[in-house]
Order: sequence, then C-alpha cells, then structure tokens
Amino acid sequence: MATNIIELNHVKKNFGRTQALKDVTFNLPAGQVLGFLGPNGAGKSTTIRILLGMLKRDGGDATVFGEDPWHNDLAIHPRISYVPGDVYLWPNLSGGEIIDLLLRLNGQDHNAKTDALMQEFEFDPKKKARTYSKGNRQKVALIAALSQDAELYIFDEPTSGLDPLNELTFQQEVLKLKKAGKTVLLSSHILSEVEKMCDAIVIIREGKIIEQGNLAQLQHLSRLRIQVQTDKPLSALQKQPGVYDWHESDAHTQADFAVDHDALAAVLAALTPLGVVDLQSTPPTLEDLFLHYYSDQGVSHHAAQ
Amino acid sequence: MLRSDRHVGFLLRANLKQNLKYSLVWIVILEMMVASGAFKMQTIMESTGKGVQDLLNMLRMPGMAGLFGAMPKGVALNSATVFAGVMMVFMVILDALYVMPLMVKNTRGQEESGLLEMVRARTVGRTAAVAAALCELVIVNVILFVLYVGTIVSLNLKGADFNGTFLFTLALIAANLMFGVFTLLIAQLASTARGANMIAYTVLGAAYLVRTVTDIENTDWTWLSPIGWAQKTNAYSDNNYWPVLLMFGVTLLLAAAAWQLAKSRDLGTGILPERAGRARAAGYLRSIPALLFRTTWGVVLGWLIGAVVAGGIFGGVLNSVGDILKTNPLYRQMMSVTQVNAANKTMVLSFLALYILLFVAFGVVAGAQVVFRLKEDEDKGYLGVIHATKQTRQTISLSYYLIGLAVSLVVFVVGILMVYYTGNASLKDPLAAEYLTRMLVAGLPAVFALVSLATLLVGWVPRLSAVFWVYMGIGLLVQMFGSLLNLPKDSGKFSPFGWLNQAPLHAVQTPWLSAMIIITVVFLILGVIGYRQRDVA
Repeated sequence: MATNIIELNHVKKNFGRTQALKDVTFNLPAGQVLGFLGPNGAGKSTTIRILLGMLKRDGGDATVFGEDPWHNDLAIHPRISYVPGDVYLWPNLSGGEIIDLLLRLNGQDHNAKTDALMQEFEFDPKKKARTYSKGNRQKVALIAALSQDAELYIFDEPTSGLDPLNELTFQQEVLKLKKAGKTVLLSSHILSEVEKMCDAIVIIREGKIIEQGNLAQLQHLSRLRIQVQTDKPLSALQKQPGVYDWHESDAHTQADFAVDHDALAAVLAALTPLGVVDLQSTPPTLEDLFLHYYSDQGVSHHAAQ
Repeated sequence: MLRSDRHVGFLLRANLKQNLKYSLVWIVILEMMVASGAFKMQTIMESTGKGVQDLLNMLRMPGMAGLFGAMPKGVALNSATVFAGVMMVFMVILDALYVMPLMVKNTRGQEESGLLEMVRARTVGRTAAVAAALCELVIVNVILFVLYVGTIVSLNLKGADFNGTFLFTLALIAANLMFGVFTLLIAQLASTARGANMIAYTVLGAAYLVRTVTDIENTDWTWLSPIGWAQKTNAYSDNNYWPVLLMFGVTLLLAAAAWQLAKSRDLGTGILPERAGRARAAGYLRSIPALLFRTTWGVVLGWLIGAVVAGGIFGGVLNSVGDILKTNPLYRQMMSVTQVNAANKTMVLSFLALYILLFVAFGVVAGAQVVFRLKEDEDKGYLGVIHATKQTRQTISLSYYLIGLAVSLVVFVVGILMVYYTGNASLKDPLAAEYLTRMLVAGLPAVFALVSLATLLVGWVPRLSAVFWVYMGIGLLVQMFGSLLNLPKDSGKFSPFGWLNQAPLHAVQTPWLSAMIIITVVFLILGVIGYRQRDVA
C-alpha cells in the first residue's frame, strides 16, 4: 500500500452560518491521479484551500505530506504546484513576468519546460495581464504550475476557460505527470476530462463526499445503455425487472433502454428468441454516474419505479 | 442616437440601490458639516465677546486664507459672509470627495469587475452607464441643494438673504457637478478604476494647491483654479452669478466629451493604447517586496511628486505669513524690532504646526493605501496563487505593512524637508535646524502610528478599512479646524493628529512620543498575527 499524500478525515468548514463542508473524508495515495468531482458550489475549492492552508478547518483532520496544512504550510507549499479555479493577475504585469515570478517565489526559475509549454499552449507572454481572457489567465497559472518541479499537483477546474485544443494539451501534460509518478488532485465538473486522466474519483455534493473509488468500482453502480433491433416485436421486454428509460419505435422492433448490470443476463436471454438484428451497448460514462448521484429528480424517479 | 442610452433607468435604479448606504452616510456627513459650520459661525460672530475679533484676525492671516480661501475684500464681515468665505472651499472639496469615487465606481469600476459586460450584453446601450452615472450625480446634487438651502435658511444667519444662500448653494452644486462630470470623463480615459480615482484626486488636490497659493499671493489669480470659480461668486456680498454659469458650461462640455468617448471606445479599454510588456521578468522580481515595488512604484512616485510640489508651495508662502506683522504699524509700535522678529517666528512656527498635519495626512494616505492593498489584492484574487507558494503569510503581510510604512516615511519626510528648505530660502530669518528635527520627531511617529492602525485592521477585520479613513479624516479635521469651530482645546486628542503638541512650535512630549512608538510596534505585530490566523482567499 502506497503512502497517502493527502488524508482528509471528517473535515468541516463553516462560513458564518453556511456549512460549506459538512463531512469530507478521502485519501490520495502517492502516484495517483484523483478526480475530484462535484457541481458548482459543492465545496471543491473550499476543500482545496484547506489543503493549501489558506482556510482554517472547523473540524476533522487534514494532512498533506503528513503535515497539518494550517500550521505547517511552509513545509508543504514548496512541494505543491497549484492552479486556482479563478485565476486573477496583476493587470499591469505581463504574462511572462508573472510566470517567472511564480516560479521564483517557489525557489525555481524559468526553464526549458516553461518555453516548451508556452509553445504548446500557444501563449503570448508579452501581453499585459489586463488584456488576457479567462483562458489566457488560466494558461499563465498552468504554465507556471506545470513547469514547476513538484510532488503534488493541485488543479482546480483548470480547463474551464481553455479551448478544446488546449484542453487536450493539458490532458497530455497530466498523463506525463502520471507517468513520472507524480500525485495529482484534479477538481472538475467536466466528466469526460476526469475519465480520461484519473485513476480514481471522489464525488462531493453539498459539502459531503457521497461516493469514492476507482473508475471500475464505480461503473457497476450505473447502468448500461442498450440499443437493439429485432425481427419480432420486443415491447414485452420493458416489463422485465432492471430495465429503465424505455423508448421504442412505432414498429415495435427497435428499442433504446438502460439496464442494470445484474439484470443484463436475463435481458439478453429474453432478447435472443426475438431474433436480434443489431445490438449496441454503450459503456456508462461518468456523465451517467454523475447524473445518477446528482439529480434529486433522478433519485426520486428511480424510487418511484 | 438615443438608442445608445437604452435602459438607463434600469441601470440608474440598480446603481442607486447599490450605492444607497455609501450615499446616505456621505449626505448625512456633508449636511452636518454645513449645519455645524453655519451654527458655529453664528455662535461666534453674533456673540458680544472678543471672539469675533479673534476669528476675523485669524481669518485675515495669509496662512488661513491659504487653507480656507481668502475673505472677500471691502465687504461687511458678518455671519453670512464669513460663513461663505470659510465654508466654500472646504465644502467643494468634501462634496467632490463624495461624488468622485461614486462616478468611477458606476462606470470604470463596473467595467473592470465585468459587471458592465454582462449588463451591456442585454439590450442596454453603449452610453447607458455614463448616462446613468450622470443622472445619479444630478439626483444627489438636487438632494444636497435642497438640504443645504433648507439648513442655511432655517439657521437664519445674520446678513444672509435668500439670494445669497441660493447662490452659495448653487455654486457648491455647480462645482460638484463639474468635478463629478470631470471624473466621469477621466473614468473613460483611464484603463483602471484605481488609476481613474488617482487622477481625479490629483486634479482636485492641484486645484486646491493652486488656489492656496493665489489666495495668499494675489486673489486675482485664483481664477486659475476651478475651486476658485466657486469662491469668486462672493455670495452674500457681490452675489456674482457669472462663475456659476462658467461652471455649468464647463460641466456640459465635459459631459459631452465623456458621452462621446463612451460611445466610440471598446468596452474594457482605456483610450491610451496598451504597450507590450516584457516576455521575461526582470532579474530583481523574485520576492513579494519586489512584486509590490513593481506594482506600486507608479503610484508611489505620484505621491512623492505631490509631496515635493505641496512642500515647495507651503514653504514658499511662509514668508508672506510672517510679513503680516511687519506691515501692521500697530504691532510695530508695540514691540521692539527683536520682539517683532520673535513674534514673526512664532507665527511662522504656528503655521508650520498646521501644515505638518497636512503632511502627516499625506504620508498616512500614501502608506495606508499600500497596506490596504493587501486586502484589495486578496479580494481581487491576485494572492490566490501566491498563497500556495512557499511564501508564508508572515512574509506576505509584513511585505505590505513594511512597504506601506516606508512609503509613508518617504512621502512625509520629503514633504517636510521641502517645506523647511524652501521656507528657509524665502524667509529673511531662516529657521534653526532644531525646528526641522521637532517636525520630524513629532510627525513620523504619528504617521507610523496611523499606518500601523491600518495594518491592525487589515490583519484582523479587513472589512472595516472604511472605519480607518473616517477616523483619520475626522482626526485631521478636528485638530485643524477645532479652534476655528470653537471646540474644546483637547478635542483633537483622540487621534495622533492631536498628540503632536503643535510641533514645531513646541517639542512633542515624551509620553505621547513613547505612546506612538509603542502603538506602532504593537499594532504591526498584531497585524501580522491577525493575518496568520484568519482565512485568506
């Protein structure tokens, strides 16, 4: 078992009367890429700021590299590289100046990697920060963070302002970090992004961790989506237990539905005698997983069935 | 054309609601200033004691004319004329300090925060923000006009006719509209709210300085300053309406220019083009203090130039302050030559004791602004990435605090040195170095004590930064104008401005000196501790 870089145990945080974090518990083992998922306002950034020692927790335990982040922020910060969710920069400094400054403040310097990243992200370092768009401001923080040599990389919704091409560049960079054995915490509400890069995910909602595990573990929780075409009418199939969200064609020979993993065998057995012409199954995306947990509507709908 | 003003009403309502608290506080303060000024004038002028003569003598002195404005010549001095003479400059400045930030906030401020972008994407016209700010300016000025006229009429000053009251208030309002609209124009030109505010304050300060010099040297030249235009109405005596017309004319021109700029420029930009920056950071930019230097040196340079100019001007007029004694035959008769010289020096020194308060305030504003940038930069999110680096909160907060103290030190010392040396160049009997030492020894700790109060607030309760400015402003005003407004002698003692013991006339007393030094050290340490234990953004 690898050592845990981050350990959070029943962490709580209040802002005045609002409980931003009610119960946050998860670990991040060394060398893993962890996706930290949740809708806006769920507490992702608050959790990250506690990990960085910027906010004082109101309950529970938190350690980063085995140290309390609030009391020993000096010990942990040099080993961390961080990109905040909203990047704001001194308006009259240029992007290049800020990148150099951020590196130097952590005892490092502009290096070959910095130049390479500037090219990859197609970034113009000469412009003053006030003229940068959100995406360009994010690039400043990303280039500074990625060209810094650190053990733990924390990205708070890093791609929300990037175009798809830059997003791809970012994903490749994270995969490089993963290969190099670095530990990464990546918060996001973009599921496809997390799916491509992460070993494990943690889902937070309204200040509580509601699910965590590696991708394979979590996928069984969601349903497969099946599209099927048969010779004979297949309407009877929708009565089968474990089948949801049924749509069929007017001729009753085509259908599109979701099915629980444990009901799959029974459904296939029922399909075979109908003469299957075409069958496609789509693996669950994190989108499905996410909706599964996140829409209250979905939950009550499920319960009603 | 009208299309570009779509939905002004909507913006105006939103702004009025947004600024309600700010405006209410200011309007109450301004109204109280007018009321208490008129009331005090009445109590002194309409009493039978020798207070009347004392006040009139004091007001005729060049130094006083420099601070408040010259008394009109060849007019009967009664409650009304003295009130108009003393309060006009003072109220023009206070009114402007209210509307200038308001105008910037409603236009450039909203543009900077991105609010205007969101609003403008709706069917809101290009010039709607400027038009809405203009409407708000007119509305608050109508309110002020009604309140001022009502107050002055109800107090029934001796010598005040309705025509004079109407003109006095109209001149205030016209000057306020002019400065407000001027700020609107600046907000269109400058590319940041901070820059717009700085330019507006600088122009206001320059207008005040120009009329300080001209009121002392030759009042004909006071026409050079826009504040002087309001003075030249001579309400209650000549009742001259032409300057009001001039101010309204300039207001219209400025408004048209602001409107035209808003119509033709891109959202989020200034008029001056952006120069390209450096691709790589300069070698020195590798620490928090270096970063602060890099981002504030322009402003600090501005303060320094201000200190040099103001110091030079105040020093230059010291000579005429002393001459009043020599030109007065009565005094000459009463005293021997050496006595005249001694009294002359006392007079110069007591004016320096007044001017030193201004330089303390000057230094404090320059330094406290740097200290409060810790909060501002945090609110703007600039420090998010910095906090995650290996720089500690202690380093970060101390950098802001110490640089704030250093800026206030340099600005204060440069100002005082300028006053002293230009003063000595103009005086026939130069002041001994001892008086310079007294000014520095008394003034610097006061500057530091006030700036360290700012560090305490930023460290513990950053939301209360407004309290600091109110405390400082009232401390300065009470100490400066307390005697004029007949306040008890020690009423200025609640702030460091009252602890200076009229240096350089007297040396500062040791207990107060130690108190100020202890306050500085303790507040500074507490400020760092506070910043270490609170949540940061």
